[in-house]
Amino acid sequence: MSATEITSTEGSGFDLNDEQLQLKEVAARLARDRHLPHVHEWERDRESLPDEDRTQLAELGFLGICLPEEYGGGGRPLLDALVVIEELAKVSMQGAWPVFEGATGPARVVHLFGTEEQKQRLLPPVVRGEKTIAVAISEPDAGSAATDATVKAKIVGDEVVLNGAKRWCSGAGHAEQYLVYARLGEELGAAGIGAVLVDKETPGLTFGERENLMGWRGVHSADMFFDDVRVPVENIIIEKGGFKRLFTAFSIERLGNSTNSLALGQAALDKTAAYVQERKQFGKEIIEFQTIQAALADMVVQVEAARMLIYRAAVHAGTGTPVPIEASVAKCFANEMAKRVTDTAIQLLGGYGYSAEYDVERMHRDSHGWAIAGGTPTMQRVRIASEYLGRRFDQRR
Amino acid sequence: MTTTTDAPQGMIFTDEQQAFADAIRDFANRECGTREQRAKLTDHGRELHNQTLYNKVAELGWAGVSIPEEYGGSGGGLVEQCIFHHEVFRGMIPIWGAGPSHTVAGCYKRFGSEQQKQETLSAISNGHVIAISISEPEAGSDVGKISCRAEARDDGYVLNGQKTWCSSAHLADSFLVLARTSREGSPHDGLTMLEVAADLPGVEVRPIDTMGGKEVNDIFLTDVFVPAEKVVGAVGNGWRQVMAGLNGERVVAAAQGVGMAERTLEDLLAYVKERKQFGKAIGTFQALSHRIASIAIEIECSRLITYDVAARVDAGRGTPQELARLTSMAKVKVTETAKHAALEGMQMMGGYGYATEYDMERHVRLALAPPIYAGTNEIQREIIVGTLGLRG
Repeated sequence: MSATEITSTEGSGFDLNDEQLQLKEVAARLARDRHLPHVHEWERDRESLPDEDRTQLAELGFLGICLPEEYGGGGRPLLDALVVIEELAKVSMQGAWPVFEGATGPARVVHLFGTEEQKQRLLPPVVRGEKTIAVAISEPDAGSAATDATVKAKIVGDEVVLNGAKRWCSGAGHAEQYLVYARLGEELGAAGIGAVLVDKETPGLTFGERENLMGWRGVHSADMFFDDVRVPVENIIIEKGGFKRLFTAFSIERLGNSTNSLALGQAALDKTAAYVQERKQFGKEIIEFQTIQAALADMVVQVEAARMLIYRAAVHAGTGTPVPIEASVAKCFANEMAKRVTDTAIQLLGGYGYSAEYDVERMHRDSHGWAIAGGTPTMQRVRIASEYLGRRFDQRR
Repeated sequence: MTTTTDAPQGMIFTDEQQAFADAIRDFANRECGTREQRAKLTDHGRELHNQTLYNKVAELGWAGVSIPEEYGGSGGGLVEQCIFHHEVFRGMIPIWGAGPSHTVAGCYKRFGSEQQKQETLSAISNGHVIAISISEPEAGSDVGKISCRAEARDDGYVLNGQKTWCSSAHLADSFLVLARTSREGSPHDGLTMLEVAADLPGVEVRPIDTMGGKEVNDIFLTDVFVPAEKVVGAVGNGWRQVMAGLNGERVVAAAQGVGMAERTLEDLLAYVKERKQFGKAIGTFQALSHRIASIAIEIECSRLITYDVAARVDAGRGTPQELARLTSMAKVKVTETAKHAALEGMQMMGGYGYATEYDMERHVRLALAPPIYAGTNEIQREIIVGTLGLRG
């Protein structure tokens, strides 16, 4: 295969430094040597990454790559994590998921908003690969309208008592801990919402049957039911009213999400680049046909544009948090890019693209999940218009 | 939504045709109108074809919708065939084997001997599934590359080779195989159609795991002896015989796409009307409603081109070039519309679109295949290009 992945961002201000290039290499090798041989089996059996592989991600420093060094993390910039996530996600969702959660997910909320005591207690197990924290935010009637969340978290003495139901929790039933967005006060909308950390084993917490999704077979998804679930008040990570500040953390997560889309686009492009140069019809490689050249070129353009948008947002974030509009623009574009690019890959591979053996159909199925999770492109567009114009648009009017 | 349930172009549909569409719609509502019914008929979505149900369809005379009455059919034309497939897909009636069987019926109608028609057309009318196998690993869009051999021996042919992407072969009593009987002349010469019984020694059907589930198969043929009377049409005339059926195949693919797209839109509309966020039905937000309007426009266009072309083919209205162009156009337009509708539907339904508990993810998986099968949409564009005088 002579396809060249354009990794040079020279002159753009987003050059990967030597350390990042090395990280990329290490992540790529791990994914190729350790994950690739198992992907079909994991997908068939709907398995998450085995624990020993998660430990290996920890040993390489990937899980805590963006968490502060005093808690065992790498203290590295966000871009480093995204470089790792891309390499892992190009091979499997299973391999990338724990890094996505650790480096761009709820662990970062603890990192950014937790107390010193909470960080000391909660972050080292994440860094060591002993615990994954998943997020529980959506509810049956609060999806895009996340601030309509109704799960109650009532403070009773030195405990918080949770009641209600969450839906579409990625990791539910598998992750060891959950950051649960819940109503800590009577105030309506965002003002009453905070976040509480709940251990999987806490009495009163039960999980619905695992959802069967079109893709994302390596990630558990289920409803979560809270029936007088009691946790110490020390587990309140975000006090009520803190929800609005969370957009910074959500912006990190959006870039993690976008990077998974980027990886799917790049991987589908790689597969397609190989196929169209190998497959012969009408006496020549099908890439000799202009339509195939144009389709491939469009894939390249879109993948590269997504990478630039993601890198820009990440570089600007440094070790901190992204500018929200940059993260929203990246997510909106990258999510839709991955759906289109993997779709084109299926079309160019024809029947082979449609069959399970050739992976691009899996990439396409997975690409939809990233565009549904973490704020849909439709919602990102609302955010983008709002941020761009400095205006708030009330969806209820 | 009234525009999707009314007959397309009342000026084309006769009362009989409308009654036929209504009857299939009633059948679908009765037999597989609920998710529970469909789950039962399809082993929870694992199967696309239920033979018991197909037998019922046959009893109603619909399995032979466009087969002459003397062979047990209803004597309809391409429009009737379109109505049938349109409504079958719209109603999600799990009788996947009907499509290929009807393509095969077309071949027999045109080229079968009287005895073959008696046997095979009657079998199809009675609900037997017969498949047709053209593609090979190295011969997809490029049919001239077919290398599966049929060597004359004794009073028949010995077949060796591999066919692939054969829709419904796993359901079929037999399949029409396009095989090479000669290497003389152009690559499209020397191809012959033979009916191969699925239970002959040396035939192996191996399902291919695809996004859509159990649809297509590899067929391995090892020293399979087929008697000479199983040649359909003339020896060496296989490619021209396939070509003769392509207009019909494309229009049927289009009709299926219309049904698929309509069902997708109906399911989407039901969801966005019911689902509330920010205190109102999400379908009332412009970011969704205008996209839905676009889908509805595309579906209306799809329906019009499909039935217009079907009626033209039935009436022989147009030169062969014009008809080929129009059938290719219909196939492209509709399959791309159905796919677009499903992709949009999934996004708008969010997690509910993604979960297998609802039908939208199935619509997506099934809508991704038609732009690839029955001649990829790239090949359809090549056909259109040819009729426009643009081929280099």
